[in-house]
Amino acid sequence: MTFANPFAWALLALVVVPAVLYLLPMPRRRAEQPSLLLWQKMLSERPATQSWRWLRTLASFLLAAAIIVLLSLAAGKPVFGPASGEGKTAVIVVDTSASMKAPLSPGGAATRFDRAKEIATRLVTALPSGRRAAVVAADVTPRGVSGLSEHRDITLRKLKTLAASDSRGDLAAAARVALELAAGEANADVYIISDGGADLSDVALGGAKVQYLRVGESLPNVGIVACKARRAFEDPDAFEALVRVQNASDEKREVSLRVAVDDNTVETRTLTLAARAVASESFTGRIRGRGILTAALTPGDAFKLDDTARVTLGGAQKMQVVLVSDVPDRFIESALSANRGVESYLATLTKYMESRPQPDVLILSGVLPPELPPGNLLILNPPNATSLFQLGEPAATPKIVDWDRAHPVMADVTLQDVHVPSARVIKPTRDAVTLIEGPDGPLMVAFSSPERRVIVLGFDPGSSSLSFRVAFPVLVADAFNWLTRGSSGAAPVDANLADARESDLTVPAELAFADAKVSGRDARGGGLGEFWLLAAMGAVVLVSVEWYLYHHRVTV
Amino acid sequence: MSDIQLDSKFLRKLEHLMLQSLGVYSGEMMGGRRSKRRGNGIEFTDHKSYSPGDDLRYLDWNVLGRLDELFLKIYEMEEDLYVYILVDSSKSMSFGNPTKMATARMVAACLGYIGLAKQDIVRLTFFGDGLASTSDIFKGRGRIFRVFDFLNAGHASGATNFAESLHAFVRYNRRHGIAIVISDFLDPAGIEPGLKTLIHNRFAIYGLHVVDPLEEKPALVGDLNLVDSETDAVLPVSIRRQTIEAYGEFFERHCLGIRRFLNSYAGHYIKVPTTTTLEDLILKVFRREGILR
Repeated sequence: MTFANPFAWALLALVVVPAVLYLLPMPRRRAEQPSLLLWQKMLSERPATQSWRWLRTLASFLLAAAIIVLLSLAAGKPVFGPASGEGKTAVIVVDTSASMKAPLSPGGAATRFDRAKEIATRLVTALPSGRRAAVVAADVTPRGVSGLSEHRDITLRKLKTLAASDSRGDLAAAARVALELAAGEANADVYIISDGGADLSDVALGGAKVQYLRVGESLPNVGIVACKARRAFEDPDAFEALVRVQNASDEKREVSLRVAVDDNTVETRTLTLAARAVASESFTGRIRGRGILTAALTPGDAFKLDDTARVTLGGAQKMQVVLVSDVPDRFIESALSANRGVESYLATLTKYMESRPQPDVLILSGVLPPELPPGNLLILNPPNATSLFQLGEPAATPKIVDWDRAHPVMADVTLQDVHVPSARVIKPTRDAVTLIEGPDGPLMVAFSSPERRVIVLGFDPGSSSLSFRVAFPVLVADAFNWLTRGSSGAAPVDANLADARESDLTVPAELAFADAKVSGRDARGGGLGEFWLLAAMGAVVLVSVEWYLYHHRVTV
Repeated sequence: MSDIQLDSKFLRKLEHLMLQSLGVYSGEMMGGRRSKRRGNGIEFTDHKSYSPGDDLRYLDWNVLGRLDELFLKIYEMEEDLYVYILVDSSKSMSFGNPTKMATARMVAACLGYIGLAKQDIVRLTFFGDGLASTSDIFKGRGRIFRVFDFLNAGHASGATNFAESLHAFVRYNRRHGIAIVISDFLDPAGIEPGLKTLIHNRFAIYGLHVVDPLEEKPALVGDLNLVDSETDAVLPVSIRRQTIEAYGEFFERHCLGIRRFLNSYAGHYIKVPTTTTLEDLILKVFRREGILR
């Protein structure tokens, strides 16, 4: 417990006053009587009258002390925090991953995230005045909900708007951010409010004070951890689907997996899954035009997010892509040819300018027409500035500092240790999202408007090590998907959880960091919270009782 | 201290009253009461046969003439009665509002007037730890103002010693009579030895116990130092409601003890609350209790 108003400690010290007064001999009032004869005779017959007087004195003192204590509590606004950190700063990491949407206990309505938010709120509320708090959400990428601030109301307001996501969370990255924040403070506590389920082996605490506040209890769960579907190469009207089901419990489970396209059941299979086992099931079928493939598990369980997965199967028409380049670009061409959903055409800038076709995606690699053509563009290694962007000076071997892991263009793309011999910083002249960050600025940006979408890459991928990686065709395919969806405006997006770690609802007892293990503490919700009003009411009641006893001469 | 003032209407009512003498006493002078001695009075009561040696002056000649037998007329004597009014003037009598002393003075004045109106011999005495002052012997209603003056001159002070005071009283007053003791009967040494002295010297006793309501039920609560008004002794006590109740019961037992003691010696005990009006006290309570008729 602590006081929101530290002045209460001084007020509480006033208990000493009645204590001293009660220790001092009490002055007695003189009352003249005609004679003490009868009093002495009577008291000699009632010797026990005084024997328990100390008890009455003690009760009287306790009453006075209780009134002071309650008034102190009322003035000081005592708050009961779920943790007992003594640092001057609190950095709170709230897990917002999909698994936090699981119920706290089987059959319960409250979710783990509800509890986590409640704990975080109480942590912030319990901070003594003048101490700073920051809140970091462990989303797909760590997100600062509230920066270090001693304005508790602002922090609480931002915390109130926090919501759990339907995707995986990156607790390790959030922990890293929190530790960096804490490292800048003289004496900080890091609170991780999570259900665990994260790999923190590459996060080093470095002596930081970290508390792991566990939420929820381990729940058995069977869920779909992967769901992929594509049209068959040979037959555009056929599709192939892969569904992976995970049993994240310690018991053998039997479930029914139903796969349907647009509510027409393709097949239903009964799966028997051993404890902690994963089963991959493939399905084939036929589909005409666009359709939605749905995989569903029955019976369902407490965690609904991974019981159903949906995949959109696009139309049979191939995407029209024109690659404009004055020099052959083998890597781009290979990436295009590897994508069976793309019908690509090659052209030099001169040829392109002659006919000016308008494909689904126009790739401009190392060349730019005098004016940017309409439509979706993928501009690689632009030679000069355009109306959309300016170019920085060429920089030798710039290092890729960071990339936007949450952006659809960068989905499943890792750019760790990619070598770029030369690049130019893209300086957008209108709103743009940075996809790849270099040491001097953005190396890849994405423009989006209702009319079209444009992606600009500030270096030649063919000259970098990116072209040798699997990530490159993935990046190109993701870029095509994002560019074309923007143009149609109503393309469906598959939003499945499909994450084995999120489907595992086991709450670990500890978090294993690179250099230390932090044991979890079950942080319960509820409690008294701010109970100053109760204290004030208690004080009023006690004062009323004392007043009544005094004025009605009630004695014992 | 307020002077004694009795209005004439009330005094006229008192003139119709008479102190109950608790027996007939032989006085020295002719008074307004029948004597148990017979023969020399003026009021005829009976005849008796003549015996040799009888005073022939009382021979009933009419009977002798009619019956030719010797009978003597017997007359009853009317004797005076000594009424001693003893007023406790110890410091404890200054308690209350009105004080017990004031009530005692008023009662003594009324009883004195009643006695004087009936030709009784009245003497007043203040006592505390000894005899404080004793009045002259008064007889006849014309002396009432001297009675009032004497009572007005008394004031409450000093301790209480019944034994010493009443021994001195008996030595000073050889003629027995009615002793009306007006007191709060609070003597640490006990009241019995002193009262027995009166009884053994053939005094008929009326014990008038002057009581203040706050003596019966003190308005005290909490931790107090009780101070004895006579000795300044201090008694630290913690008083609560139950203590007051217990004290009230104890006080009743104390009164009952005095009553039983006096009754056992043919005396009378009357409680005189200071809150009762004088008229009620004299005309109702005292007549009901038999001190007046």
